Order: sequence, then C-alpha cells, then structure tokens
Amino acid sequence: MTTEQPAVVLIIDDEESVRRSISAFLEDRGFTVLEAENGRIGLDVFRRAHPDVVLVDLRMPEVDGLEVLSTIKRESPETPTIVVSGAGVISDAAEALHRGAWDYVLKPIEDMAILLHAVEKVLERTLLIRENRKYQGQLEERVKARTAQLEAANAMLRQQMEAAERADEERARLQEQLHQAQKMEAVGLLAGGVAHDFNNLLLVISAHAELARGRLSRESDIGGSLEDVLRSLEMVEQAVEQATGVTRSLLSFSNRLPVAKRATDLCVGIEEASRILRHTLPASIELVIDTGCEPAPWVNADPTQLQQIVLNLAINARDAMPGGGKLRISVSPPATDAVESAPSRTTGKHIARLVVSDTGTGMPPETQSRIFEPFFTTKSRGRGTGLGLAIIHGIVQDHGGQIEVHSEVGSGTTFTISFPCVSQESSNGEAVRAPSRPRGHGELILLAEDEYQVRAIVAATLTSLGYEVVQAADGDALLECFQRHQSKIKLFVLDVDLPRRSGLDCLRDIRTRGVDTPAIVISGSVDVELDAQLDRDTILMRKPFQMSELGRQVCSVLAAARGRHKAKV
Amino acid sequence: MSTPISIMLVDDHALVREMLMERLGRESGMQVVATASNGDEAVIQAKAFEPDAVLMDADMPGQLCFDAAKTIKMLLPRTLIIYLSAFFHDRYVEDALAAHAVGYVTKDEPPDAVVAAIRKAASGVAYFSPKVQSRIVIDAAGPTLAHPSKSKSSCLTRRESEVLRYLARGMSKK
Repeated sequence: MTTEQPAVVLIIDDEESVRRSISAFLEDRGFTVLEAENGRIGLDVFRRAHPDVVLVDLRMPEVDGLEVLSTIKRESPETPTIVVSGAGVISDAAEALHRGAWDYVLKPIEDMAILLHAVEKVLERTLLIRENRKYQGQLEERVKARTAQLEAANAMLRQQMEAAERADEERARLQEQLHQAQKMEAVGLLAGGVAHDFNNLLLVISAHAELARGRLSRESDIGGSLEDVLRSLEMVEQAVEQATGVTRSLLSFSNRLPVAKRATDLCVGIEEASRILRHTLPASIELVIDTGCEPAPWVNADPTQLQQIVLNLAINARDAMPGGGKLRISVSPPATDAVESAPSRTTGKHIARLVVSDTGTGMPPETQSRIFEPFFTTKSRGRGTGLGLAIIHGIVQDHGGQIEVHSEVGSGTTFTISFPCVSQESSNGEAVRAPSRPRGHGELILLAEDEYQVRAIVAATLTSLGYEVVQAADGDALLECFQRHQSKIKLFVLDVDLPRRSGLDCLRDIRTRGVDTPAIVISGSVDVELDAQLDRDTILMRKPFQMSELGRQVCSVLAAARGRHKAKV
Repeated sequence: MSTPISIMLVDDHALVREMLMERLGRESGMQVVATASNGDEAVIQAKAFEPDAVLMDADMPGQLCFDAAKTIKMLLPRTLIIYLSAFFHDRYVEDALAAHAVGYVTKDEPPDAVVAAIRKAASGVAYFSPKVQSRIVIDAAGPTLAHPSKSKSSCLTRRESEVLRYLARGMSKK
C-alpha cells in the first residue's frame, strides 16, 4: 500500500443496507470500496482484487464468515480482516479471532467512527508489519552478505594460518637442520682449533726436549750447557702450563670452569705470556715488549686468561705479517679514565691498558665490524677456528674491561684492551665474597639411612660443615648407636623407611626414655599423615631436598635446641 | 691390624694407572689388586677380584664407564665407586651419582685427594667438591644434581660426546 493510492476495502455482508451504509461512509473518507453479498462471491472478489482490508459478516448463506476468515488467513495472512457482525456472542468473537480476524465490530454500528478507527488501525498495523518485514528482509540480506564476507575472511585466515603453520614447521625443521649443521661445524672447528693449538705447544715441548737431550749428550764436551738444559726444561714447563690454559679457556668458553681471578700485576702477567712468544714467532717478526710502567697496574684477572689474550692476538698478528714485521706489546700505567668519550664507561675510574699492535696487512672496516663474532675468520680453512677473538672478547668482558680495535689496510692493526685497576691487596675470589655458610662446632649427629650412597653424601655434607657424624644403616643399628653415644648426640637425622625398625618407631622408643634431642626425619613418600606423627622436637624434610638446604636446616634446628636449653637453664 | 682396602684402578692411560698404583701402593691400609684400561675390562676384573673400591676414569673408550660402574654395582653391591675425571662436568657428575658413585675427584687435585676420597668412601663418607656437594639433591629415586649447567656441550647427545672424546684422543673415525 502506498499513500498515493486509496486503500481498497472489501465488504462481504448479505445485508445490502449494511454494505451500502458502510460503503458510503468509507468512500466519503477516501477509501475504494468493493462489495460482495455472500462468502463465496466475497472470496472471488478477494482473489481477484487483493483488497487492503476485508470487512466480513459471520452469518451468511453458502459460505459463512468463519470460513471466509479461514480461507483469507490461509491464502493471504497479511491481509487484515475485521468481523462486522450482529451475532454478539463471546463464542463467535473467540472463534472469529481464532480463525484470523484482526478486529471485531458489533452490528448495528451505532458510531461509524468506531469502524473507521478499526479499519485505520489494521491498515496501520499492516503497514508496520510490511515495513518490519522489509526491514527484516534487508537485515537478513545484510547479515547474509556480512556472513559471506566473514566466512570468506575466515577461510582466508584459516588458509593463512595453515600456511603459517606449515611455514613454522618448515622453519623449525630447517632450524633443526641448521642447528645440527652448526653443531657439527662447531665440533669440527673446535676439534681442529684445539688440535692446532696443542700441536704448536707439542712442537715447543718436543723441540726443547730434543735440545735438552742434545745438550746433555754433549755435556761432557761443552761446559756450561746445564744452564741451557734448565732453560729448555723451563720452556717445556711453560708450554705445559700454556696447554693447561688452552684447556681451561675451552672449558671456560663452554661455561664449565670458573676462572681463577686474583689481583695480578698486568705487566708481570703480560711478560710471562710474552716469554713463550719469543720462541714461537718467526725470526722475521721483531717482538717488542714494553711493560716497564710505574706504578704497577694491578688488575683483578686470571693470569692464564691474560696469557691467552696475548697468545691469540700475537698469533693473529703473526698471520697478518707473512713477510715479517714488528709486533709490539705494551702495558700503560694506571690512568684516570676521565677523558674517554664512550658513554658506557664510568669516568673517574683507574684503568690499565694493554696494547698489542702489528705492522701487518690490516683490516677493512667490514672485517673489523665482525671480528668478535664467534667462528668469523679470514684465515683459510684449517688455519683458524674463528674463535680466538670471540674468546678474547668474552674474557675481557668477564674482567670488566673493554676491547677496541683500530686497523688500516696496509698499515697494521692495534688492539687496545682496558682493564679496571684494583689495589694490590684486593682479591676478588669468590670465597671472600660468598656469604658464610652455616657451620657446626663438632656437634655429634646420629645419621640413619639404609641407602649407602645417600648416607655417605649426607655424612660428607654434615662433616664438611663441621659436625661429627655416627652412622646407622637400619633401625637396630640406630638404637645401638644411640645407646653408645646417647649423651653426646645433639641431633638425629633419620630416614623414615629404615629396615628392621622404622625411623619413626625408633624415635618414639627414644622419646619414651625422656630424650628430647631434636630430630630431622627424612621421607620420600607423600604420606600426609606423617606430620601428625611427629612430636614438637622433630621436623620433617621431604625429598627432594638439596644438601645446602639440609645444612641450613641442621644449623637452624641445633640453634633452636640451644635456645630452648638456655631458656630452661 | 685391619684388612687393607682392596682397590681396582680403571684408566685407559697406562701412565696414570702406573702413577696411581705407585702412589696408592705407598699408603698403608690400601692395596691395588687389579687394573683395567676400559669399562669392559673393568667388569671382568671386578668379577675376578671383587675389590672394595673401584677408582675409575670418567672418560674412557669402549663401554661407557658409567654403564660399567652400574654393572659392577649390580654384581658387587658393596663395592665403592669413585670417579676420577679431567674436570667437573655436570653431566658426568649426574651420571656418576646415577651409577651409585660415592666420590668424584678431578685430575687437577693432588694425588692425596684420591687417597682421601678412597679412605672417606671406605668410612662411609662421600667425597665431592664442596661446590658440587651443596648442589646434590636427595630425591626419592636417589641423588641428582640441582640446576645442572646449560653449557654448549649439552646440545650434544651422549653418543656425540662419546665420539668427540674418541676424536680428541686421536682415534680414527673408521
């Protein structure tokens, strides 16, 4: 229905006077009115004309109003129907509404305004229903379109996710392959590097051993050769020490070994390292050692690692000077680090500098930027592992220092390593700084545990902490030990599950004798009832526990027992 | 006079074996009754001599020394196992603990440490360095090590480590 066209009203009533009066009234109000004198004709008109509203009487010949209502509801449920009937009984009204009538107006119609109101109301309702349906239809369309969009996006996302998953799997697989390859490469390079270093040192050892043998065999002929022999033996010892250093550095590189730092005169450390160089560098290389600085620069360093720094830098310098040249190793006296511009530095600190410079081939900037990367090397295969400078970098960092490189192609390379200075007396050993561990004073502890290894480890822990320990492997032995040392025992450390008699059973036996010596009961089970079985002088330690934890617990229990004892006195 | 502690030395280096035999031979109350140069031989010798203590190198070719120790402990539960190794390595210490060892001595310790470890083990007291000892965890299944280090070598499998050890010893890859 549109506002431009008048609404069409179909009146189905067998009383002509009624049809006429309603028709006249509605036409006056702008409606187009169709009329039918019975139900059958009414339905015919309805099917042909598709009126906007149908007014129908209930009592009619042939096809009555109720049937008309049912038919219209079935064929066109959106067409409003209003019953206009004189049969004013409730059952008729109920039946009419049941069959689809939208409203009910009683005849005779005393006030036509009531009918008009009813007609307008149903038309308005129809309009609203249609608009609502149209809106719903549009909404459904939009939802359908949006759903389609979302489904498409979802499908695309799923595809992307599947692709990403496949890519992840592929990346993981490649990473694993790369990891394996790197591992093998690292193993090969490490093995090669170690073999190379050791071969050098073995060469030094065998050469000096041969020299010593030769000199000894000629001793009878040449006087004073014993001194040379001693010098050769000294060199052998140094090479052995160096080999130990190589092993130590490798272990340190793989985080296996703590470094042994101590207050070291940097000059002395470097001189020792340099001595071996004099015998290993080719004659074409002039070695200049300048360590005569005053005052002595004391640094907190591992001397073996200092040697390694010098050796590695010297080997690189040697390789950079195949035709010979000058290698200079110098140490500068402590200076205040106030003029440095590097933002990471703490100014005002005393630092000592180790400078290693050569007159070799030098490096272009792109090589300089990568030299501290592990496995980066410019040497030919088999000549270098690419680990030397990475190790040095690690060592310098570990010593709180910094390493800088300056190089020019054709002019040579200079490495400057700065170490923070310390006082001569200071020692940075871990033992000095570590907090003191709780220690005993010879208190006797009765330890009962059936597993030999566990008992031995616990006994070792307790004795190392300064306690005396007597051991028992089962319940009977525990009670025997108790009888023997009763007055001296300051603490029981018992496993719950001892053979012959359980630890708790033994403890109960001991307690009945009036002994309130503290006890630590060890249990590997998750028996929640266990706590309830313990007396106030006994504590429970559940496995797993660390030995350091046991040490603390023993110390704390004994301290508490001493406190109780003092309170009693 | 009490019976001396009978000891079997297991090390693939003849020089180390001889040095230890000479050193332990000077100790009263200790007697080296057998030697072996690898894990397989160690098991055979242990069966034959039933030593009180086995001092075993942790880094030998052939049957892994930790497996050999387990076999020996199975055959001779009262025999004490003490490891001698070039260095402390968490994995070795863990393997040693799993093999019921009561001692772990490194080769950079003086030979007296070996004597002390044997004597301690025989008296029922384990011998580990204090640093390692404080990290031992007593679990229901036995002792293990807390916070084992994540060194780069941990990315190697047991077999890869073994092969690398052989290579480091200069053995042929064939």
